[in-house]
Amino acid sequence: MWSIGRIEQLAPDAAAVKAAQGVAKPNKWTGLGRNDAVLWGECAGSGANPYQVRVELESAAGKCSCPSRKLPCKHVLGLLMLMVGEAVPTGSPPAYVQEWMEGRAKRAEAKVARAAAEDKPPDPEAQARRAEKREARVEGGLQQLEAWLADIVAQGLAAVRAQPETFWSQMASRLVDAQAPGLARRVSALSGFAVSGEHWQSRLLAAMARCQLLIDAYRRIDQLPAGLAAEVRTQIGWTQPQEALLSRDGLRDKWHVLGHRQSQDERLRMQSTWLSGLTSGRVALLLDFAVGNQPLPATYRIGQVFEAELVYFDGSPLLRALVKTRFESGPALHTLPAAVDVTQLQSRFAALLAENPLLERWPVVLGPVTTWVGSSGTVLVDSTGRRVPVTANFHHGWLLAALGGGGTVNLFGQWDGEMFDPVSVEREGRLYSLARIGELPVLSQVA
Amino acid sequence: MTHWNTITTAATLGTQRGAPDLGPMWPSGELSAPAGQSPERALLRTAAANYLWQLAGMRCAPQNSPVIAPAPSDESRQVSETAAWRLAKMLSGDRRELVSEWFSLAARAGSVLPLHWLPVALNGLQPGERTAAAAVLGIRAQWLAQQNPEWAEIAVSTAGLPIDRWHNGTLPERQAALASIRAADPVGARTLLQQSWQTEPPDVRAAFLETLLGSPGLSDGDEAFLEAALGDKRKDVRMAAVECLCRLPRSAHALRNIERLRPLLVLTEAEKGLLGRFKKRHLEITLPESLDKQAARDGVQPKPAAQQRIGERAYLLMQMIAMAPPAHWCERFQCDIDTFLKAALATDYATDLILALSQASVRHSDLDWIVPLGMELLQWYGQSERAPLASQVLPTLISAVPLPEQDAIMQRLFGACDPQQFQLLESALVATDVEWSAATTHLAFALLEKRIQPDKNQYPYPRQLLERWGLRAHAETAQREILRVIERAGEPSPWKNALESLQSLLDFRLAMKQELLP
Repeated sequence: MWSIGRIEQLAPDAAAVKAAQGVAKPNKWTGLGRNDAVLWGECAGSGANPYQVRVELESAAGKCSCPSRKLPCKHVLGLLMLMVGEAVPTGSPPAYVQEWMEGRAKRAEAKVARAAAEDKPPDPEAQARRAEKREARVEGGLQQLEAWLADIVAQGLAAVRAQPETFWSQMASRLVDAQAPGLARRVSALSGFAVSGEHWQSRLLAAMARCQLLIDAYRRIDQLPAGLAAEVRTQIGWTQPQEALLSRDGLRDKWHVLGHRQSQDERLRMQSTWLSGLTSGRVALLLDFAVGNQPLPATYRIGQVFEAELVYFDGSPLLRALVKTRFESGPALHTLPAAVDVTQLQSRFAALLAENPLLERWPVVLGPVTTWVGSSGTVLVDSTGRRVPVTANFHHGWLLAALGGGGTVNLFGQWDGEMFDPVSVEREGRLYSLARIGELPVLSQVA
Repeated sequence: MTHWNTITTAATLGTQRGAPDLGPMWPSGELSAPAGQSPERALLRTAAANYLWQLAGMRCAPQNSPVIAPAPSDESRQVSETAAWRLAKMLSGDRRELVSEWFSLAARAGSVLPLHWLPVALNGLQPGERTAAAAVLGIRAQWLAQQNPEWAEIAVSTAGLPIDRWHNGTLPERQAALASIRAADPVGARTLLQQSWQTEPPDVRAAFLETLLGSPGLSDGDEAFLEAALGDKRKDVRMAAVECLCRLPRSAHALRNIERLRPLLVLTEAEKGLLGRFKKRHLEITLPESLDKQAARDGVQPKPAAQQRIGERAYLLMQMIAMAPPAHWCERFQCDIDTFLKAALATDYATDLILALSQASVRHSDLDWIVPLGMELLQWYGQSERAPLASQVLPTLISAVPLPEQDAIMQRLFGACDPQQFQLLESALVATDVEWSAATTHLAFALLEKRIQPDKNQYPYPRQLLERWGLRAHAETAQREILRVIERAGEPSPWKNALESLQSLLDFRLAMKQELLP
């Protein structure tokens, strides 16, 4: 199912959407057609030959013969818009489309074959040497960080508050060099706590203390249970090879997409998709990354239900996962799973903290709650009158309050022990995602 | 002081200044601080344990929460999600100028915005768009505005009795209340206005006079009140009163004006007999010597604005002519409009007279005069000095026509217009508040097509000019016509960009319409 919203999500920027709207006119196209798998057409451009455009519908992967460096280009987006506008007839693909599809199939096979070939480690000794080298680097990074943290505590938090942004970012860069990107991320976040307004000391100290806890945990990783040990390594910044994970047996279930969010740091764009297993009741988080102007895959939509075998990354509690095999999709579901109230939210998080004291946040459905926007921000009040605040810089407060209409809603989001960070919301059997149009916060009803 | 506060304070000051005894700070005896560590590390570790202990143990107690009244139910049809999404994009800058049309289409469909889109509209609307939006915001916008005072002015309340809103409302609410009370009870409305008049601030006084000017129109009964307002301390209020009085042809103000004009403008008598009919009549003009006190009180200004090219005495005369109902001249000189205009055009003051008569026709919405004046203004195209004046006046002339007749007037102007006068009409067209009819749209595009033909070697045509057409043209007709025009322009054409952006605007409007009126 394609919609304009999904096409916009696929676009690299707003300008591309606008350009695509200009292209999405049937009179600019010849040889339009589609079948269940692929969509194609030729679009007149400024060159002598029309651009040949084709899009694979399932993966949203497209190719166009135009010279644009934007991915996907306006022709691919425009072609999808035409299809949404039902201006594309069904037909059988012409040669250039068939060639492309065959090429894709071959490349996919080759990739699997390559992955299979790489399964046999070429030189276990070399690998061990590399791992040892990295261990040494990480250890060096940890020592630097520990000394740096101790130095801050010795001088006092008040003294570092006046430090420029570079004071924090330099330490973060050193940790990236030491191949501990997870720690680097925690250190970069410290600079934000230092200038976070009232009670900043408390927030900064808590975050620094958790860095110390992570360092201590890593030093004693041999004494930790396997799951927690894996979690600690991940948080330091070790990655788990996906090929190895995919060779394990996964959990087959009907997975319900509860929420969806894109975020961006300097170079990397990240897409989080949260799933809930209809039978198992388990939650899972899929992460996609894209560098530069590469598109993020637009594979999942909120409310969608699909059957798949998922493999969890090692960790504690298990959350991040990979799709190993995907089977057919079922009808969409516009309700959220069973919700917890504020007391349950807090006691469940306590249990998870006991399992993993390094846990930063956990996805959960909270409700029924009323949204109340006060002078000090938005709070969510449950039926017992207990209330929790939403995250700072939350801009959808009035939208939630309006949607509630004085009544209650259920929210899916992340709980960090202190604040709730909403991702999507359900009211009376309708599902809405918290979205943005440019800078403008909106609630968009899921079709 | 809690343990956490003690630890935070120690960390804020720095362990160099001394550290507290951390032993008792550990949350439980089972967890103990390892011995032999630096004070800094001990503090961080204690903080970590203490913080997590607190975080895990935190449970909220119920609090009394403010009770939020449930939103009133609204059974009206709801605007579709796609349409609302388009509105949000428009409010954030994508074709912002079409927001008013969006709301009037939605109002025509009898739809209201769903609850979750209301904050977007309430935040994004500009003051001028609020009245048009009121029906689409619906009663639930007022419910929402009760919770957020920032929106109180936008969701103009139409609930309750007009009299309550008159006494307690914001200025826009009071203006709306005044208009609605006047519609039912003109005398009662005026009495209300007079009761509070002395205590209202000047801006508010001027605003209320503007309300009187609008529907449901003025009556002779208002004269005494308006005449008194001529003595107001504030110029804005005085000028607003003059505008009202100008429109009451039986008022003492109007009669004084006509009396002042009597010796200044004389049309020679028509000669008798067959030959006399072919003989021209002449308009003899005497400029007033100076501005007397009564004329100044009646709103005649002593000096023209600096950029206006007109002598001081001529300016006095033209202001008086602009106040008098144009019908007066035919009645006084026993002539038809054409005769009077011909005589006026033969004088040294032709340009100023046409402008003054146009202003008078606007004030009195005199359709009989507006058409011939419009035709005359069309002739000014190509005259370097007068063309800019014409392009200013023509739009005001057309927008003074009552809405149902605007389109007919435009069709007549189109009929008289040749492709070279096109630019003049172009600006006049966009001044109207109504969508052109299919017929007018057709005429406009036919003219555009003619204009394009001899245009091969021109400079690129500025796209903004044509894009403004796109705002008012009948979208369905225009979308068909534009294809033909684009084809006619051929390729390459200096018009290409302008035509394509007009086309995309038309597509946008049509899509908007289809979403709102499926």
